[in-house]
Amino acid sequence: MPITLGALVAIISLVVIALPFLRRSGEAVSIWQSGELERLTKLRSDLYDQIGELQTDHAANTISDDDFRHQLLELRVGAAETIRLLDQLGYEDEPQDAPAFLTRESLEDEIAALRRATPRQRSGTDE
Amino acid sequence: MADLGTMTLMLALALAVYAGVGSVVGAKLGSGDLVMSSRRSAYMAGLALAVAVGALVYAFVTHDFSIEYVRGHSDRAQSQAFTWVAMYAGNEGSLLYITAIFTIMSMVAIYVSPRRLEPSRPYIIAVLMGINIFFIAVLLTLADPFAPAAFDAGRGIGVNPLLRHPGMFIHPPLQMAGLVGVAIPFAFVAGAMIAGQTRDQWLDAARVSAIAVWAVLSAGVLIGAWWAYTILGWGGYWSWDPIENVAIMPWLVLTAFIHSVMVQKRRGMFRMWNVALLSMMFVLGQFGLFINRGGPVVSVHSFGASTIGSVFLGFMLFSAVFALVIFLWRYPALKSDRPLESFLSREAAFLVNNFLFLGVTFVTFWGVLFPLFSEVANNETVTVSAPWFNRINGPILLAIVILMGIGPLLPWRRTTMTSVQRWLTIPIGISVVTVALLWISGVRELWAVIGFGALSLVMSAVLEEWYRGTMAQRRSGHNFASGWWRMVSGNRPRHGGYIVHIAIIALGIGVIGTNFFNQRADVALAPGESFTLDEYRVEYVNTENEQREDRILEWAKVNVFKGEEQIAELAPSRAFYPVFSQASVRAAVHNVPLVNIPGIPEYLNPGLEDVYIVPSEFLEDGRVVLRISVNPAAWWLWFSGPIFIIGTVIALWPAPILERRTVPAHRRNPSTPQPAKSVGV
Repeated sequence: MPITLGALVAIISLVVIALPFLRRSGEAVSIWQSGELERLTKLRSDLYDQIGELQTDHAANTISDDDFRHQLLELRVGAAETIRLLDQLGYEDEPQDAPAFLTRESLEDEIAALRRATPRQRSGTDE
Repeated sequence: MADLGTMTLMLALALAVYAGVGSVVGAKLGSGDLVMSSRRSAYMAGLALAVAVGALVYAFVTHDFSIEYVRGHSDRAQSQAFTWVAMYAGNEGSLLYITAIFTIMSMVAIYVSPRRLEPSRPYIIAVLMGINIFFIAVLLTLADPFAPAAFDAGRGIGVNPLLRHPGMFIHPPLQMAGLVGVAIPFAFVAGAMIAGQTRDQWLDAARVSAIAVWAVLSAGVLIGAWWAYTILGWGGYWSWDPIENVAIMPWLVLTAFIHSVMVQKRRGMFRMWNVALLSMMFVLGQFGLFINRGGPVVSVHSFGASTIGSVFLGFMLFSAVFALVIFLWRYPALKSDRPLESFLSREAAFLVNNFLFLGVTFVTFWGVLFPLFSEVANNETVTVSAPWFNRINGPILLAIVILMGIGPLLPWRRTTMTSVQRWLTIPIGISVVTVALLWISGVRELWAVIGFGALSLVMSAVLEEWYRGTMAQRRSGHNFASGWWRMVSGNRPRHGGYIVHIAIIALGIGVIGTNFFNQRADVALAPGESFTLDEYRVEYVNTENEQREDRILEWAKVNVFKGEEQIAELAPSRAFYPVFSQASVRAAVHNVPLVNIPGIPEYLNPGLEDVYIVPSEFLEDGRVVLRISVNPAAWWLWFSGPIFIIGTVIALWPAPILERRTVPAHRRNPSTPQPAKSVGV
C-alpha cells in the first residue's frame, strides 16, 4: 500500500510536469507584454495612491502648500506618463468609479494647466 | 509508512532538482514550456513533501515504533493530541517540517507573484529550490526521520515533557516557518537581480512576503514567550537565550526592511540598502538554523540539538557568499533615484530607525557569539546573560520607541523646524505630563518612567495623526467613524502600521511592568500556612498527586486573597517523568483585572498584574516550596498579539478591487494597432 501510494504521487508528478510539453504555447512576446501591462497598471495605481495620500496629508495640514504643489505636480506628471505608455500598449483599464480627480482626462487637463503655470519644473520624462 | 516517507523524500529531491535546473535552463534557452514544466515540478515537490509529513504523522498515530524517530518521540501513554507536536519535537522531524512548510510557502509565493516578475521567476524558483535541495539532501543522508529503529520494543520514549504544552501546537510551527520563510523575500530579490530586474519590479512581492513572514515570526516569538512564562517556572518570558536571539535577529532586520521598503516604494530611494537588508536577513535565518541544529552555543532549547551543525554552517557560509556576490554584481544598478533632501523628513526617520534596529541586531549577534570568542581567545567560556543584553539593547530599543512617536509625524521629502515643533507639541506635551504624573505619584524607576513617557509619545502621535486625518474626512461630509475608516482604508499599509505601533505600546507596557516592578519570593509552606507578597496573601491548602503511566503528577492547592477577599483558587503542578529523569512544572497564573468588564471572562479583562505561582519542590515533610511572583502588566504582553495580527492584516489587505472595464484601445480608436494576444501563465 505505501509503495503504491508513493508510485501514485510519482505518476501524478510526472504527468503534471510533462503537460506543458504536450500543449502548444510559447508566446513569449505576449507574456512579456502582459507583464509590462501589469507593471504599468501597478505603477499607475501606486501613483494614484500617492496622490490620494498627499491630498490627505495636505488636508490634515501635515504638509505645507508649497511642498504639496511641488509633489503633486511630480506625481501627476508621472501618472500622465504612465497613462501614455499604457495607451501605447493599446489598453485603457480605468476603475469605473474612480474619483473625479483621478480620471485620466482630469489628470491630463490639470497637468497641462500646471505645466503652463510652472514651466521650469518640468520633469525630464515629461513630453 | 517508512517506505512511503523515504520514497516521497527522494521524489521531492528529484522534483526540486528538476525545478531549479530546468527553470534556469528554460530561461536561458527561451523555452517557455521548460520553464512552465519546472515551475510545476516545484509545486509537485511541495505535494511530495506534504505526503512525507503525512506518512510520519501516520506512523506516530499508529505507534509504528519500528521507525527510530517515532520510538524516540512518542509512547502509547501520551495523548494522541500531541502526535502533531511529537512530529516536530526532534531534529529529524522538525527538519522535515521545515522543508515541507518552506516548499509550500515557496509554492504560494511563486503562484501569487506578480506577472511583471516573469523574467525573474525562473531564477526565483532556482533560489528557492536550491535551499530546498539542501534541506532534502540533509534529510536523506544525515537526519532521516524514517530511519529504522535498531529494535522494536513495542513502546517508545515519548515527547519531551517541556513540549507537552498547548503553546507547542502553535509556537514551533510558526517560529520555524518564520525562520525559514525569510528566504522567500530574499529569493524574490535575488531572482530579480540575476534576471537584471534591478529597479523596483521585485519590491511589492518582497514587501508582501516580508510582512507575511514578519507576522508569522512575531506570532511565533510571542507564543514562545507565553510558553516560557507558563512552563519554564522562572516567572519570566524572555531570557536572551541563544535560540531566542537567533529568532529575534531576522525579525529585527525584517522590521527594518518593512520600514525602509516604504521609502523605496514612495521615493525610489534605499534600493541598495533594501537589497542588503534582505541579504542580511537571509543569512541570519541560516545562522539561526545553524545554531538551532547543533551549533556550538549552549541553549536551554536543547531538544533540537544534533550533530549536523557543521553542515548548516557550511550552507550558511555559502548563502552569505551567494548573497554578497549578487549584491556586488548589481551594485551599480541599485543606486537611488534621488538623494536624501533633508534630515527633517520621514525617509531620514526611517533611515535612523533602520540603524537602530541594526544596532540591536549587532549587539544581539555579538552576545550570541561572545562565548565562542572568549573560549577561543582565553580558553574560558564567558556566558553573556540577560542583564548585559538589557543594559545595551534597552536604551537602543527606547530610542526606537521614541522615533516611532516622531517619525510618522514627519512628511516625506522635507519640512521646517517650525512645522515639526507644531506637530510635536501635543505628543511631547502628553509625554512630559505622563512622566511628571508618574514621578509625582512616587514612581522612582528612572528608565521605567522614561519608557512610559516614550510609549505615551507614540500613542499620542498615532491619535493625533488619526484625529487630523479623520477631521479632514469630516470636512468632506463624513461622520467621525466613517471618516476614520475611510482614512484607514485609503492607506492600509500606513494605518495598519500604526495599529502595529499600538501593539508595540501594549508590549512595551508589559515589558516595563514585568521588568521593573515585579516582586518575587521563594517560600516553603506547610499546609494551612500562608505568605503575603505585595497585597496578596497566598495560603497553601494541601498537595494532591496522581500516578500516571508516564509521569508522577503533583499539584499544590493554594488560595489567593487580596485583603480579606479570596480572589482565586489555584493549582500549580509539577510532573516528574521517570523515562526522561526530568520534571516539568506548570505555573498557575491569576490575572488581577484593572477593571471588571461585565459579561466577559475574567482573563480577558484588561490586566493590572498577574499573581504567578509555581511549585519548585514538594518536600517529604508535607511542605511545598513555592515561587510566588507578582508580575505587573503581564497581561498586556499577550494582549499585544491580537493587535499585531489586526494591524498586519490591515497592512496586507489588498486595495478594494473595483469593477473594472477593460477596453482595448483599438475598439475605442480603430487607428490604434491591435495588441498581441496575452497568455496567462
